[in-house]
Amino acid sequence: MTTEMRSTDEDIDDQLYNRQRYVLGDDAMKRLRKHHVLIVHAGGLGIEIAKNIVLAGVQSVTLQDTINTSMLDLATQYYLSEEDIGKNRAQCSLEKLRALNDYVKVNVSIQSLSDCSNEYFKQFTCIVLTECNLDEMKKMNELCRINNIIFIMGDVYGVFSRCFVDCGQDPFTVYDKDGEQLKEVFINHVSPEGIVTVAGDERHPFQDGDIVLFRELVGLEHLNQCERKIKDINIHQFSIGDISSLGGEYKRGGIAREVKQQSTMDFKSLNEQIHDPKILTTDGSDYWTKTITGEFWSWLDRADRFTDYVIAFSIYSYNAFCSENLLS
Amino acid sequence: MFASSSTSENSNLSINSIGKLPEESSVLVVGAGGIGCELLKSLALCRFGSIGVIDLDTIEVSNLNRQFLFRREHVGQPKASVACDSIRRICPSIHIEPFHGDVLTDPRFDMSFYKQYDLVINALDNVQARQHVNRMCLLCSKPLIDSGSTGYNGQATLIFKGRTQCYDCIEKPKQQRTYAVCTIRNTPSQPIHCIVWAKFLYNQLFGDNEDPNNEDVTPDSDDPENANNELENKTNGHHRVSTRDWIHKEMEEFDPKRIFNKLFFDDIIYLTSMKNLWEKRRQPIPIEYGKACLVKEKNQNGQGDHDESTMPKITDQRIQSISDYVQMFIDSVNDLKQRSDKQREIALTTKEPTFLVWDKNDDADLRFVTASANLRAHIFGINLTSKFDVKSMAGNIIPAVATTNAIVAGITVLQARKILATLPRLSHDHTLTSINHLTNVFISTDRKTGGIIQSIPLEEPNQSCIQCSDLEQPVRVRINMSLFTVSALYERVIRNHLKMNKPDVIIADGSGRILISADDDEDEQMMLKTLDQFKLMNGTILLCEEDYADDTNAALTQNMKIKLMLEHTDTIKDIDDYIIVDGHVIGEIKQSLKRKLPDVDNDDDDDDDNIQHLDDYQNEINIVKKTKRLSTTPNEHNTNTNNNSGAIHMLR
Repeated sequence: MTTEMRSTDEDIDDQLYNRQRYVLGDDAMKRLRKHHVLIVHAGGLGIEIAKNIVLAGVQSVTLQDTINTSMLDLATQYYLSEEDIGKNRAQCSLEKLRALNDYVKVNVSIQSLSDCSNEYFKQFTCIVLTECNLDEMKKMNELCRINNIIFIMGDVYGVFSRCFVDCGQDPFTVYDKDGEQLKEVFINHVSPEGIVTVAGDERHPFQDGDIVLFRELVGLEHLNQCERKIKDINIHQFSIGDISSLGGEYKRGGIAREVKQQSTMDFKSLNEQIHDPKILTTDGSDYWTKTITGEFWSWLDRADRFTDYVIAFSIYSYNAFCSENLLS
Repeated sequence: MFASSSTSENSNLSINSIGKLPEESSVLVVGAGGIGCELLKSLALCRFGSIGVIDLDTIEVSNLNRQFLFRREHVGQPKASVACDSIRRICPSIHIEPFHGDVLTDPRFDMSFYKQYDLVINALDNVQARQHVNRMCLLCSKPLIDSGSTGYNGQATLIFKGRTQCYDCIEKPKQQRTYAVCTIRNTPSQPIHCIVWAKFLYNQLFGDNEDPNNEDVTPDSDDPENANNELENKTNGHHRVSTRDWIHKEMEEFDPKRIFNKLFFDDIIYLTSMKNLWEKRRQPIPIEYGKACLVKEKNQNGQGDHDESTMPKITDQRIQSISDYVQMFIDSVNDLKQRSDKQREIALTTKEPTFLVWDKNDDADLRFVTASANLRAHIFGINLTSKFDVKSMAGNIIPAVATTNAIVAGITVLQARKILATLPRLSHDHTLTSINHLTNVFISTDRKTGGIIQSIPLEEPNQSCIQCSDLEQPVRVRINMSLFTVSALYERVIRNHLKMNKPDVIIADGSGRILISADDDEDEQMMLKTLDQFKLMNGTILLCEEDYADDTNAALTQNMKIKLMLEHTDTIKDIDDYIIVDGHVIGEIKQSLKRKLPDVDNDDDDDDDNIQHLDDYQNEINIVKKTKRLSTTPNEHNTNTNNNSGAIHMLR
């Protein structure tokens, strides 16, 4: 039933993607659709990631797994059922994943990571690892950094989870930090000292450091089409610094609009981070928890491979577990 | 049994807790959309004993992007049924039942329906349905998890009767922003004002003539800022006529160019004559059809122009030139005129309406609003808006992605499991302390607050909340709402059966509407109308209230309040028939004493502005309030709401 649908370069299928376009923006959607994603291991986490990425609309998704379905998988991997026990997890999930989005090419591989050449990985723009051990993760991360492939690692243990992202060794450009509409105000007055008073009762939307562009000012024509960095004064006013050198005097009119600033981010490799991790917790929990959690993960990585039972048990007694084992 | 080993992972969570396991529990899920699909998946994986799913919708293509239980071949089928089929494929042994119906009005969903379940979860997209389910859960004493999401934000909040705030304890900010009349008609300053104006214009030209909410779009000379304007007498009086009337009077032949000039030239000239308005504001610059056609350069105001990232724009995201919008206006007006004429013809022989209703998915409708709004914005020096953005703003589209819904669903199921574990404690302790280890959870991308997921402590109920502070059971009366009249309700049930004298009857559905006012002389016409004509739902509660003099003490008045719950049934065929369910409840009606205040008018809480008589039923389009304030600041309602900084109110 699925014929391969190729969207044109110009248009995004609005009928299908409409609600998502309003969240991500068309810029993001267009970039998304150029990606070839590799997801390693088709367990509960892997399949959830695959489901979301296929729905979002990338170019292709490859699901790679060597592991066969076991009873434990049935608790979290919803595309596997009892008759799949003993069969390769990725292969069993393929058809259901494909059915999620006609625009995405979904492939399956049953090779192990160590059997794949570096050339094989270079076809991907993004590689997501789940259920891997630390050595595998470090190796893959190095490969990704060299080849400018986005590297993401994620794992779930009971109610605990972790995630690591590395967008490559080159600086990463952020074109639009908040994706919001451009903020704009009508101007009531501009003093020679550069104090701008906005029109209306509403609070002006700008913050310290924002850059604004002026237009339609009457009397201060030299300020039109100029960009100035602002300092917030109060809800109706902000300052753009002394403008007496520009000449002219404010008569009326004028509109000030935000100019979005690009910025760059630098990502550290997994190797650098793992020994001294900068941890961001999803619920903002305190430093003490962060320290323990960091140690806990380090301990996990030192172990070769762990069963889910051990982890489940340790969730309830991890305090005791950690204090005994980590401090010794 | 066989299932136990695969759930051993999950059962570890309940080793140390007393209470029900998911396998022993039943849950009702209201809504099978974005959150609903993810929720059902998680609930099924937890092996809940029994799941019920209510949804009134059928599947559309735009759902497929995140409601992953549905595929293209399912488009047009009911969501509830297809969701259940998909879940059964994931977990064949599960007991899951679909209900394709409206939770608000379907007679199946009465109190006895809710009582079958241990837990109710909302996965809805509108306030009205949430309020209704909230009421039902309060009445049946069922724990309720209210979940929701918009874009990257979401929530899973807990509602326990008597222990936590209910959904209505804190007043929610209005779903739609309302704008002052003069802002829309005279002094717009934002794109949204122009878009709202354009929608009103659509209704003036093609919409329902009888609709009282149909706002005019011509300049408003009653603008308070315009007082003392001497020029008013000079200009011709055509502005006092509504656009709709002007068209019918002035034009024998429908001429889009003349309409263009009236709206974008003549009316604007008139506006500029109201000098007071423009003392501090940028004056609008009118455009004449002939000249406007020539403006080929793109207006510099486009929002899209800031983007330097080299991605070429998709058609409907581009800002076009003024001449493009002029053409778009003329073309769409012609298209819609044709359609409107055809509609009138069709209406002669069918039950269809004589007018058009604006639909965001219709291309001509969208082009009309986009063109009109942008022409107006250009006149006032306001940013232009792409067709893509107009669709979302005019169509009240709620942005949504699969990932947020998945997170919300996951958190909701964790909440559900905690509640089940807590259930035994609830019978001993009826206060918040019995559940104060539970929290409300909010998902927000606002990193300043310290985390994506916030856990906020539960709060005590609002003492003056009408929904949950009055905890008496209602008197349930079963009638056929399409036969039973207001008069029969008042005379036979309220006065005769419940022995009330002449109470006020208020509809307690959050609207505050008065069905019967003891003071007014209700007109015969109204009393003879059947109850279904007043938009009362199955399960609506009427509050019957009156004061009467105390026999023993002249200084006191008795205040009697009875809650009447209307339940509809088609099986009653007699127009006078009614059944009181649970008759013993009447004996337990509380009566309270009130001190009579001499010489003071006790009607001071009668705020006429809030009372809506039953003829104005609120329209879904932004209602322009008759007060003449400037539009409220966006931050105003943030300071009025409670400290749950992450609270999400409008959600899909």
